[in-house]
Amino acid sequence: MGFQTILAAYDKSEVATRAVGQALDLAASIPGSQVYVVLVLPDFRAALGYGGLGKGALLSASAVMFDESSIRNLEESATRREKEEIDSLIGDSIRESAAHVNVEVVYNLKPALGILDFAEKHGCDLIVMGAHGLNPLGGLLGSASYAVLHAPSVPVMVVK
Amino acid sequence: MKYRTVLVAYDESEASHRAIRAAVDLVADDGTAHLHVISVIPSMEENYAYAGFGGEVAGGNPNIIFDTETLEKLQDAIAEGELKKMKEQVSDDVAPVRNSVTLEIAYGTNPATGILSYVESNGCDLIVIGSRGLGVLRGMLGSVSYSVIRSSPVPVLVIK
Repeated sequence: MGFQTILAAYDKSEVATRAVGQALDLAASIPGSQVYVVLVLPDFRAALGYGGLGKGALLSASAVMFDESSIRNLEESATRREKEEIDSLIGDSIRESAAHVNVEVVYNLKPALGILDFAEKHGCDLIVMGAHGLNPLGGLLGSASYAVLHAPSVPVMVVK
Repeated sequence: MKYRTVLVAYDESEASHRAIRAAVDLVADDGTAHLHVISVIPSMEENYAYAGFGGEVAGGNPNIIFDTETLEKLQDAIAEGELKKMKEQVSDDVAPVRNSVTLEIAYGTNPATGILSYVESNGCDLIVIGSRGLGVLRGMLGSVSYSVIRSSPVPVLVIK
């Protein structure tokens, strides 16, 4: 019994690294369970003001215009680069763990929404995250952690 | 399993029953992990601002004057009643781990300090709590849970 599909939110911070460690240890002790290590990056479409209207006209005042396929290319290269960096940071502990692990990069303007959306799509039954991310305010709960904690249904483990 | 001594805080709410069942799942398959289920009651000495000066009241409610002995008797009587009630209410939840569970009353000026001082004195390595206590909207994070998450030295698993 116990948790089967565990999402470990990762933002490269030290506390997130500890959160991933907790998720791996927990999953290693639960037969048949798996871990998704999820990094949320800013959504290019939203960040660039792309509204998805017509052929990709940019809605913001920027001089740059992107169509859907160049945005997809941007995301793909960013995903590749981020996965390489994640591998250099925590790849060893993932490989040493007995847990079944997938590393995923998702795009959302709000880290909390990216995490919750991924959890819903993949049927995650536990979210493990650091108490605060890269921008800690003296041990206070970070905004992403706070938002995920406020969302209904999925249990959340907060790691210090 | 990674966790040796798991603490669950019980307050008669549905979320705290779910928290107990989640914690039971975590320790059930492990022969060495131990579960503590606690209910926190107000510590009277602090609540009545009793300073222990020969029965004098140092502050707080001036209408109530207790000496140490009376206070202890009163507190013991309340604790005994609470423990009995908790045992009845959680016996089904903890049945799968009945040989490795301790049911206990903890004291604190508020539930969060009661939980955290119990964690410290018993060397617990994981706290499991409901996101909300009695009588409030499900899915929102309660103030007790929030305080515990903020101040806990160990991971906190929040069950909704």
